[in-house]
Amino acid sequence: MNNVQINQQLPAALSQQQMRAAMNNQYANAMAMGDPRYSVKSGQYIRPGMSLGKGQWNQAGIDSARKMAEGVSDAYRQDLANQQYNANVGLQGQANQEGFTQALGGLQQQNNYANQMAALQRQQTAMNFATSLLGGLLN
Amino acid sequence: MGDANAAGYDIEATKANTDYAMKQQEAERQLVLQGLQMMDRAQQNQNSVYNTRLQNMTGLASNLLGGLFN
Repeated sequence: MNNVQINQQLPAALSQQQMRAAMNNQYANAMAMGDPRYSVKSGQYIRPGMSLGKGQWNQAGIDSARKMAEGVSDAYRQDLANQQYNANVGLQGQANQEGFTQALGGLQQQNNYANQMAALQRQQTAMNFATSLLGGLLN
Repeated sequence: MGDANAAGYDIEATKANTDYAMKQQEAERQLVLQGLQMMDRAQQNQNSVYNTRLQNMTGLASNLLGGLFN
């Protein structure tokens, strides 16, 4: 049988350490793209029977800069998305807790009302009985 | 790339765990609410039964007394 627990703390969302590790790795990969040799080795500038000239190396440098910039941009975007996720988790948890608390309060109020109405009904019954008795005695 | 994948996997795994825990917590809250509602309803039913019995008893006593002293 499972125990149902309320008001339990949410597990921690993404830690700063995790996000920093992901950011560092993505950033490092982006920096590695900055080496033009990587673009050259990727194959698009290698043609059978042709040596690489300055033009190809120049284009490889441009490609590398573009890949590096894209990688850095992706790293920051991912980090931002992670932080946004953490913020959303906190917000959602808070909203859930608030909804639960309101529902509990409403339930308690309804219950109190029902109990009071039942007590009132008993009072009325007792008063009716007393009225009947007195009416009979004084008749 | 291996380290980057590991870090990315770590992030996704934590997200999945957090999402699961949140859903579980919300489901437990709903369960608690339903349980409380059922308990309240049971108490109200009990009140109703008790009050009806009281009415019956006082009605009976009233009729008896009325018959005796008529």
